[in-house]
Amino acid sequence: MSKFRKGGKKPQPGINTSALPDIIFMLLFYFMVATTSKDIDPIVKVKRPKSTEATDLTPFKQRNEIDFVFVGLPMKESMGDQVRLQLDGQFGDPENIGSWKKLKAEDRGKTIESVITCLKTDSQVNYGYIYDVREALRDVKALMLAYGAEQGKIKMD
Amino acid sequence: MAKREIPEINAGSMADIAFLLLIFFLVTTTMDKDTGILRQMSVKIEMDNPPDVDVAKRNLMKIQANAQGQLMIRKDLADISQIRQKVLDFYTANINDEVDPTWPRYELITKRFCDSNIVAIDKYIDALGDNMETYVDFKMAERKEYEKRLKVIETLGRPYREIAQVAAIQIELQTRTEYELLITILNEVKAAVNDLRDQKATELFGITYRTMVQQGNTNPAKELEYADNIELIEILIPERIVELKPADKK
Repeated sequence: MSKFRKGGKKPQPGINTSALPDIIFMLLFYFMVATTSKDIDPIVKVKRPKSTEATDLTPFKQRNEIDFVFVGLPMKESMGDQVRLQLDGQFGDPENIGSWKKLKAEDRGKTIESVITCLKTDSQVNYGYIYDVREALRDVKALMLAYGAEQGKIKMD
Repeated sequence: MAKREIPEINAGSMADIAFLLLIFFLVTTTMDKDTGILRQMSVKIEMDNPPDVDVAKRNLMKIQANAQGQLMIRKDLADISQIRQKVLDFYTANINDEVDPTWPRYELITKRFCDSNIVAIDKYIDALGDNMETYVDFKMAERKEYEKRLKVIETLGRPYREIAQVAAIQIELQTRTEYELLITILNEVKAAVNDLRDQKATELFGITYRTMVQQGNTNPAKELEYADNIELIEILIPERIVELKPADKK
């Protein structure tokens, strides 16, 4: 009646993977567009507060036109438990920020007044410390300041 | 002669290359966006005997916050959610008529008013001499403000009313007040000012101030297009926030 095939199962055809590179490229492009490059590894802990009125600093004003300063507690406990600044890859204090700003301005070949300083500050840092940084910046005439904050809804309580 | 067939390129390793690139980007980039609240700080002026500036109470709105997170607006205990309304009152109470003597006065800005002020500033700078460089800078900045106002009168084709020039919102915190509270307060004040600017911009250009700024941020062509409008709105509704020295700082 019925015929039986000889030789058992037929080998399964391989999955077509020719579309795989396309998928991966799509992912790649997504990440290239949606992220910004990080040029320094943080050495202080920063958890930024939220604000609905925070404006985007960098979309097309280039990142390198802004000096980023991180303010927070050192990540390594051996570095002490005092709030410090992170100036590029190094620890700093409010006294150092003036000379650091001057160096940065020289490197860029721009006047110190025209470069925004963005303070990426941990939400728990005391205002007294921020005020010291502010005064140090005013002393060197770096008057454009941005208080780093995350854009988003804030909860009211 | 028969054409030779071109052998197909083996694309099997394409996925691997793409993966490598993808992983490289994953490692070297961060997701967080660089956003913040922009502030223009004032110039520091060193003077031997600074002139006593006496600003009427009505022109100031002091927002104070202590280390425990309690708020005071004009010496009254307040809540964060009240800031926005208070700032709106500050700006709009006397916008058309002199109604409430506890809120800032509005003044009419005319061409003559600006011109006479520019002349006065020029005279003042001449009299100062060279040894007061920072103060000259300060006065020059003030002069520029008047020039901008002249431009606004020209664009509008009529004089306009502006909140008293000494009117300012002061923020006074304590040394142990947390940064988060500073941002929250600034956010509320900015939001109120931006609401007013949105209103004004819709009235004049049919587009909100926030939209103009946002579109300008992402699109250089739009930024150029809106630059004048944004400047005009910012002069009509000036944002003067002053951060004071912490109350308990030596």
